[in-house]
Amino acid sequence: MAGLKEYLVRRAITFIPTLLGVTLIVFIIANIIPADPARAWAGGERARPEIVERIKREYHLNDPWYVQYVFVMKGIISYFISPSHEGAIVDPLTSKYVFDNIFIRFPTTFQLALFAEIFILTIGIPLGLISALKRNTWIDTFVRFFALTGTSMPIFWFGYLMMWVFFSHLRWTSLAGVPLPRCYESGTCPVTTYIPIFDALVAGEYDIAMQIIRRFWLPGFVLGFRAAGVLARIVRNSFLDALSSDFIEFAKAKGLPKRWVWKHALKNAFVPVITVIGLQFGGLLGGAVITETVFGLPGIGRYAVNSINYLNMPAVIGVTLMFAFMYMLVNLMVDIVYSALDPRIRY
Amino acid sequence: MTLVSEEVYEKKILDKVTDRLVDSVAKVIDRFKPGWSIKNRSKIDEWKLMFYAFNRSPPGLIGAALILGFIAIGIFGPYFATYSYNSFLFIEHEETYLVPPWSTVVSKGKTFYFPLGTDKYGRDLLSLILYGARVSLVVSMIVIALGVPLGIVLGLVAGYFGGKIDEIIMRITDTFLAFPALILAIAFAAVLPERLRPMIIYNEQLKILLSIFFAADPKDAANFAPILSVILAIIIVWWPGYTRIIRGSVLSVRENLYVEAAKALGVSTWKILTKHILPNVISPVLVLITLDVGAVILVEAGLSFLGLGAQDPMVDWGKIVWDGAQYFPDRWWLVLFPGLATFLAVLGWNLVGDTLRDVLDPKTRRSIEFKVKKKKLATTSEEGGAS
Repeated sequence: MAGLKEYLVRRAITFIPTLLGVTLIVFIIANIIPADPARAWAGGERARPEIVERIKREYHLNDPWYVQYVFVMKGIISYFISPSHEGAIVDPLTSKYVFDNIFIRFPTTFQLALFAEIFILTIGIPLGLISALKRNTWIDTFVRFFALTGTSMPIFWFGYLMMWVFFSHLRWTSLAGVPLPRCYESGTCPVTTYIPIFDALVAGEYDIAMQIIRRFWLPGFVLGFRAAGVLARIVRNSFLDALSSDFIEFAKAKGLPKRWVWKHALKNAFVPVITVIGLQFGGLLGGAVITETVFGLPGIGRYAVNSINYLNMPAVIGVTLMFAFMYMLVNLMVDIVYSALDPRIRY
Repeated sequence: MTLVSEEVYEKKILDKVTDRLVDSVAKVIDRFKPGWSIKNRSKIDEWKLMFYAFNRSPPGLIGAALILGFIAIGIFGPYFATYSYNSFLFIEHEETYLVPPWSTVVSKGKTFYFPLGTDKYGRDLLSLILYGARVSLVVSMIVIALGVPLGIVLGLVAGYFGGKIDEIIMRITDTFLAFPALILAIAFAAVLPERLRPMIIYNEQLKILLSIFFAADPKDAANFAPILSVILAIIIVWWPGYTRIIRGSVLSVRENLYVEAAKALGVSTWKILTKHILPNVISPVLVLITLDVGAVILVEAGLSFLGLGAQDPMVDWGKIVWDGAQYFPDRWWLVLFPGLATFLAVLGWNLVGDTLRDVLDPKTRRSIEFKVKKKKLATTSEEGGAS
């Protein structure tokens, strides 16, 4: 697999201009605000002038924009390069490193996206396959309707409706706190992935795992609902395309068992499906902002919105960079899976 | 002169209505370009057929009805609202605080009827939703009217000229596409108002124009800035998708012989782009535009739910939900009705887009056309097979 390694290196190099462009865009955004961020960070109108002055000096706010940009970029890079985080960029409101703040909140968002993805795959793929097999029947119409409803649903509205049903009436979910495995505190986790549900399961703390599921299944469902219907439609269409292609006709004519015909069709149908799943993941990250707000989950989406409201630009730059990086990483993974599934695609 | 299609197909009332529509559009074009409708008879026939196919799809018709309703409410709703968005009845009539739907309130000798209840300021929810429709309509229309052409032009230029121009445009496009759109829109919508506010406040004409657009009091001019920034923010994140799609199609279309021929004949670049390339790459985008109107409404509602966009006292569907969410689920109407309005408006655009995809796609189109029953007329000869 020497080709793969080369390909990864090449892709990683193409990341760099895009990431630089991303920081530049965010930086332009940060420089649009005429309001004085230093004053806002120091506590608003009544902040003491010497403190405001000190913050301005620390963040190079009086310097021209390129000096500021270099300062911010240095702050980001040095967090990841030096083990002691010397010179890394600090969140002016919490006085912690920006990326520390992000990594504390990351597991919540990731876990939310994970639950959403589980719903998307377990609802979307079977529904799509069924509606392809029972084409033009009531179930096909239902899937079409389901997909349209999903894409038309304002996610916040759907969130409140589901909350009303499953929390206010049925009490099938909880809405407070974020349960963490006990072994985080005692430091006795056998493996630490920083994804609470995995760690809890591995450590055998099934009660905590149940609590996590109780807390996360509804937000995950709400977040995944939209994408599930769309995925079902995509699966249906590409499965139908594959079934009507020549090699399937040939396989049938050759008298292959049905199971084998299916295997060929599925393998070919899933190439476009994988791309859609990858692209949808980016949508999940965006949608997570609203879902986290509705369900009171302290993830990076909430952190982003709060930082924007306080003009906390170091944090905004960190968060957007993080989102862009994850988005690109998912795209890269999609490409790799793609080439593994489809031997015609060479990297 | 009768058109071919009129003799062949069995028509319902709706088909006659859409026939009229197409004919009158043709007449309008005729006025500017005499002789157009005779030259383009087959095109007019094609349009009519498309409408027949559309008319036979119940989801499409429901969608069209929802869209028409949304547009009508967006345009006329604010004028029919019983109360203004800034009539805070609660100040004088305490009984109007968070009144449930379908209730009549009698206070200080006055009788108020609130079909959908009131919010915490005693404002009539139905009126607020009518005002919110205007904001949604204006935002989505402006975003589509500015963002889509921007994306299309950049895509045309990048695809046609290639080389360095292509490289630069596509690098920028990729950078914008590297963000989840909502995150970038949030960032822009949050920082732009401070810049836009002075522009609006000190510009009387703009103030008046925007107050007509948003059906708002010019006194609230300071609050136009956040809505305007939402519009700008969505445009900024919306164009790259179109650029990428158009560029991809242009790359294949520009290799066609007819483009080569036009070049050899000395047709100007502008004319080649608009007359020869654009018509051939636009049709997949048409469906996308319809679907995107709904998507823009959703993004806008989401942004205003997060506290960006309309600010008090102005309203917007997302904002009504956010304000009402703190009383949820006891005061459910503040969340249910504005959310339902958003849902139905977006559903309308999606239904129409979904149907249009089938109608415009030559593969599925034929199968729909077969459903349009042909009249068996003994007198019609071979002509009957035309379509």
